[in-house]
Amino acid sequence: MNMNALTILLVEDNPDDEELTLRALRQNNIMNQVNVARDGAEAIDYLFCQGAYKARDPLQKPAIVMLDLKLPKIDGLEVLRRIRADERTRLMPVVILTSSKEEQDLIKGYSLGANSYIRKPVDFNQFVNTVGQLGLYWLVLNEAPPR
Amino acid sequence: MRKKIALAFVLVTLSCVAVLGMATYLRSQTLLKERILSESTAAFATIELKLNQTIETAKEDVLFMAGTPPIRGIMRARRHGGYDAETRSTYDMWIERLQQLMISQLRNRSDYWQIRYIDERGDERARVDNLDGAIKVVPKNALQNKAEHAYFTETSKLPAGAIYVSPLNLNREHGRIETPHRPTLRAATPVYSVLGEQQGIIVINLYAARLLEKIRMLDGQAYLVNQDGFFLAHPDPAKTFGFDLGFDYRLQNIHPLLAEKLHGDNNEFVEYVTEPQLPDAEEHVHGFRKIRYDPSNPKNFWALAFDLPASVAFAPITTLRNEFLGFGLLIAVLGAIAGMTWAGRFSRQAVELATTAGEIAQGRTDLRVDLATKTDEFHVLGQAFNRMMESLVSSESRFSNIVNLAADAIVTVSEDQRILSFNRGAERIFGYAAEEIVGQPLDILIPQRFVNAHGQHMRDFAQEPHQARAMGKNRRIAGLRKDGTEFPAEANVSKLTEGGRMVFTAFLRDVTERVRAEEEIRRLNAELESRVVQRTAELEVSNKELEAFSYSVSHDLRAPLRSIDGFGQALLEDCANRLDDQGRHYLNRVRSATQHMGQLIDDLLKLSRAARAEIHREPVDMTQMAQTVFAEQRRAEPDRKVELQVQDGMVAEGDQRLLRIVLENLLSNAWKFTSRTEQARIEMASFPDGTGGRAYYVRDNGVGFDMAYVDKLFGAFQRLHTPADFPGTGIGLATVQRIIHRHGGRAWAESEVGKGASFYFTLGPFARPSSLENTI
Repeated sequence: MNMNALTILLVEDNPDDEELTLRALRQNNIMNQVNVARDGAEAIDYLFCQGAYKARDPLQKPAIVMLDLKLPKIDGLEVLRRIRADERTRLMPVVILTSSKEEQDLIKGYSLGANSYIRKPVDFNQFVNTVGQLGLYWLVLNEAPPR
Repeated sequence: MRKKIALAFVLVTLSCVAVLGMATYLRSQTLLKERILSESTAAFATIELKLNQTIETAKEDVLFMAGTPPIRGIMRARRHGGYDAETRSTYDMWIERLQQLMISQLRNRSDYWQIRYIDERGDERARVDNLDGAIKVVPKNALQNKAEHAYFTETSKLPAGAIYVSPLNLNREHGRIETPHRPTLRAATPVYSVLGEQQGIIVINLYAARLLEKIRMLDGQAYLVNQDGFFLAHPDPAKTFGFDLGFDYRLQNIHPLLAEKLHGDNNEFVEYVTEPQLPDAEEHVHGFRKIRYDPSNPKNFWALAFDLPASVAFAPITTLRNEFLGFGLLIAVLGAIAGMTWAGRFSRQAVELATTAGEIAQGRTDLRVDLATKTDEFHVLGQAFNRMMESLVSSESRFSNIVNLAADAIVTVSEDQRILSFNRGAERIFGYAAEEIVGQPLDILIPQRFVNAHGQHMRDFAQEPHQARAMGKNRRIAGLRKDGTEFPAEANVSKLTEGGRMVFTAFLRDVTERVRAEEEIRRLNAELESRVVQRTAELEVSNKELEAFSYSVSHDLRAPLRSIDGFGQALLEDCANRLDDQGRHYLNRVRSATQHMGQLIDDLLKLSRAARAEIHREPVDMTQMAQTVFAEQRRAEPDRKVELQVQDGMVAEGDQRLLRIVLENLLSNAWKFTSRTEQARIEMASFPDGTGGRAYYVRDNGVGFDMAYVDKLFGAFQRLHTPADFPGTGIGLATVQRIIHRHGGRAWAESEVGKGASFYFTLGPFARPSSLENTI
């Protein structure tokens, strides 16, 4: 399978973070298509092909979901819970990408079945490295679950 | 004929006087002796009751203290590393509340001079003194260790609710006898946590000088001795407390006979010694009464002892005898003359005198010879007789003065419950004058609803073998004043048999003031509880707010920083050709400031987490942890050469995660401040902290700091170096101190500029070394 056919879903409400994340992906030569959902509700619509994304091909599943926790409407942990609760998305790799290093978030994130928990560092160089490693791992090394 | 009649009269008179006089003398002598002996016993019984009352009060107070909420609060706080989560109070807050209670207790009890809470290792934790009316909380740094003292070790062995009463001795401070001397009696009880662990003791110190003063008042010949015969009270105060002051002067030195009797089982002993064994000794009266003040330790007792030469004790009897002899002679001479002239009249007066003497011997000590009907020599004789009676009565009144001087009510009651005597204390308390109440039934001093129960109580007591006992529940009864008002009282009753009849003596104290004080304390306690509940609720709210705040800081405050840094970096990369060196320099400054702020936020969150996190104590391998943390440092800066030396087998009792933060901060500081040292060396080890736990230290040979600024060291945002010299946020040591304090421990530092620094910490009273450490 062409690696570049794999898509990424970035769930991020902060436009600055969105742009920086996209920039970090580009700098790591990850040219996969990145779809951005700006709140939890939009992410749900996108994943389950409903609402504004009714027309989307349900078989086109993102290779990885990069999920922020603090989101308008439906928060990140709730999005994760629904992903894991639904047969169609149960096995989808989800990486939490957030500012928070609060213990309660870490525990909740992992117990809801997050595959990774990454804290966004302030230092942009570090951020670029982190995103690079994420992309390399989930898009290249990791064997995706059967569709 | 007239001579014969006169002679006959003389003979009749003489034989009458001789027979009646002899009978009267012998009867009076016996009666007087009995009376003197029984009165000494009664006076001693009064003192015994007084001592017992004082001790009982102290016992109740010490139990009361041990059961107050602050004690439970302190134990909860100690169990959880210095913080009582149940009421959100720190250990120090609870100590302060306990001190408040101690202060109000001391205010109400003038004969207490100290109340303390001592922990299970003998360290005083809370101590309030009343030194001559000045009530003072003893500050932390003046508290002492009392583990060596008998009252501590003895009380620690007792089960919950049991009370230890110490022997009476002179108080010591820092192991030395305090001057002026402070005779002290201690009542103590152990305190136990809900888990049944012994958690120290409560001790009340009684100032015994006033009690001893009462004993000295007793005519100057009474002593108080302890079970070894050492004097506690003696007419000459310099002879007391030999066992404390290091001289051997005891009862056996002056009264070997009495001392020997004291070793026996007799609780009470009075004896008239007619054949003294010592040469040159005269006849004497001596005796003692034992007071067992500590029920759990019957071999400890005090004895009230006295020893009077018979000439002093029986002075009224000697006077009586001499006067009888003298006047017997006179009567013989007079008889001869009278017989000649007024034989008849003489003999009538003589018989009358003898009859009066006989009646007095029957106990009517108020009778006097009617001088108006006596003429000439009989008048003189009558006067002498009356003088003798006065001296007898005055010896009685000495005792009744003692009774009247007492502030307590002392009421004697006959077997059929009628009042026989009513002292001044009783007049004051009940509002009746002695004249109007003597002869009345005792019931008029008791509220109607208690009369029946009281009657039953007294009948039971009459049958009991005990000589004395408390009245009412906890010695508390209700009294009824003349004006119809009731008052709470504490009372004891004792019984004596006088001439075959039983006489009860009730000692009663008006405790209105004390009950009020107790209610005040209860009210204060309730108020304290409700304040605690309220504060707890407030704290919960503010804690929630704090959590929300720090969550928001963690999440929202960092986001803009990321943008600044990220776009700054983007600018440097994408627009490099449009920026000159100056512009790039500025951008780099913006980025490094951003990253510093990121670090500040992270450290602040760590500090706030250290303050909020619950402490889970468990054994922590400090040696292993130090090596792991150090290895991380090394990985971050592999080019530096730093020698690390860690003591083997250090195991602490503490919170794993929080202790790791401590070591991370201390070791990274050591790493940082040795960056300019040629042969950098970092050492971590531990040593006993002197209270059963261990103190740990991290030592480096780096730049060190000036001890003048040591106070600033552990404050948040305090830095002793410029960021250009050594980077940092100034929060690390504040976090370290917060964590150590949460554990109930202490953190401190020592250094000299250019010679390195040492950071020490302990982990509080519960961080005993584990067995693992002991074996290494």
